Amino acid sequence: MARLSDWARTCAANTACVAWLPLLVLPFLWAIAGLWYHWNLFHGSALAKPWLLWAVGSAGYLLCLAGFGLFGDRQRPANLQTRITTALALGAALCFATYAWSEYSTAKGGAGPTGTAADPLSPVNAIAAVLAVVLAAVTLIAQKSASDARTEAEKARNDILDAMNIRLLASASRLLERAQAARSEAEEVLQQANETAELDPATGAYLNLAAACLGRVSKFLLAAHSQILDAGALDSEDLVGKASLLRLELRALAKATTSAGSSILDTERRLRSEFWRPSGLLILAMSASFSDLPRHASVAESDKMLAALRDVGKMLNEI
Amino acid sequence: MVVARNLGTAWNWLERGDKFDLVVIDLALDRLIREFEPEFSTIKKRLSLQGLDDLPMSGQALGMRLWGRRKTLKQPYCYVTNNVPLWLANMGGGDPEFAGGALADLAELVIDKSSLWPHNVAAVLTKAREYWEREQWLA
Repeated sequence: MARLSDWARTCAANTACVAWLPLLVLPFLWAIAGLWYHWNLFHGSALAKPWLLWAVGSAGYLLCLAGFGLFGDRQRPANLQTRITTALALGAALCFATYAWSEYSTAKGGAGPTGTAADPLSPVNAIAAVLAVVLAAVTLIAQKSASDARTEAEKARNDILDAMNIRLLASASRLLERAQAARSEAEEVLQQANETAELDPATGAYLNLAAACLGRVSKFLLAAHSQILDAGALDSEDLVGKASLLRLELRALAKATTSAGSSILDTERRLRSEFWRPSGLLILAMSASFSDLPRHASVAESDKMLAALRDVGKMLNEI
Repeated sequence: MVVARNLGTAWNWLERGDKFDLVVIDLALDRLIREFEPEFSTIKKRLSLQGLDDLPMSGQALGMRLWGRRKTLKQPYCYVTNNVPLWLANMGGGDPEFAGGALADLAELVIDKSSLWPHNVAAVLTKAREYWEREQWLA
C-alpha cells in the first residue's frame, strides 16, 4: 500500500505521468457503464441510447485532456486532480447537452437520435468516433510529452555544462598558480646557481638545469592553461613541442643530479615535494578530465595533446 | 646585447644588416619558424634517427644559414645550450658547418650552458669569437 502511494506521489509530480494517467479513468468509467447496462440499470430511465451519451461524454473528456496537454502552462502544468475533474465536468456537460438535444428532438416529434438502426449515431459508429478521438488525443499528448522531455533534457544538459565550466575554471586557475610559482622558483634557483657555480661547478650545473626545467614546466602549464580557456587558440603541436623540450631538459637534469652528489640532496627533495610532484599530479588530473574540455581540434590532435599531458605528468612524478 | 625570442625575429635583424660581435643561439627551441623549414627539415631527419623527431625547432637551422652566407653576412656565431648532443656535425652538404669538425672538438663553439656563469661568460664568448678569427672562416 505504501509503495502504491509513493508511486502515486511520484506520478503526481512527474509531468509525463500527469499527462497519461487521466486516460486510465476512461476505461474505468466505461466498465461501470457496461455493468450498469448489463444489469439493466438504465431500464427504467428515459435514456433510450445510453451508449450515445457515454460516447459523447468520452469524446468531451478526451478533448479536454488534449486541450490541457496542448494549451496548458509548461512552467506550471495542471495537476492530476485538476485535469480529471475538468475533463469529467466537460464530459458530463456534453452528456447532458446530448440528452437535452435528444429530448428536444423527440419532443419535436420526429425521428431523433433514437431512430433507425441505420442512423449515423448507431453504437458501432459512435464507438468508432470515440476511438478516433482517442487516437487523436493520444497522438497530441505524446507529441507534447516528447517536446517537453526534450526541453527538460536540454535544460539539464546546460546545468551540467555550467557546473563543468566552474570546475574547469578552477583547474585553469590552479595551473596558472603553479606556473607562476615555478617561474619565480626558477629565478631563485638560478640566482643560487650563480652564487655557487664558481666554487662548486657540479652543483652550479645541477641548479642551472633545475632552473631550466622549472622554466619549461612553467611554460608547459601556461600552454595547458591556454588550452582550457581557449581551445581553438593552440594546436596540439605547441603542447607536444613543449613536452618534448621538457623531456630533453629533464634528461639533462638527471645526468647533472648524479654528477652533483650529496650537496644537492636537500634542494632535490624540496623541488620534488614543492614543484615536480604537485605539478605532475595537477597535469595528470587535467589529462583525466581531458574529455570534458571543450574541443575544437580533431581527434588526432586531441589524442596527441592527451598523450603529451600524460607523458609530462608521468615524467614529473618520476623525478 | 639584444635577445630575440625566436629565429624569425633574429633573422629579420640580421637580414636588414644589423651586425653583432657574436650571435649566440640556443639549440632546443619551442617554436617552428616557417622561414627556416628548408634547413630544419634536414636537421629533423637526422634528429629522428636519434629518436628526437618531436623537437619543435632547432637553433642549428639559423647556424647553418649563417654558415652558408658567412662570406656575405660575415656574422660569427656560436651555440649555447643545455642539450649539447642536439648539435649535429657535418650539416651543410659540401660545405659542412664549422668545417666538418666533430662535437668533441668544438666545445668552444657548442657551449654547455651549465658551464656559463657570471664570472666566466665574457671570457667564454670572447674565445668563441676568437675561434672564428683564428680559423678565418669569414675571409
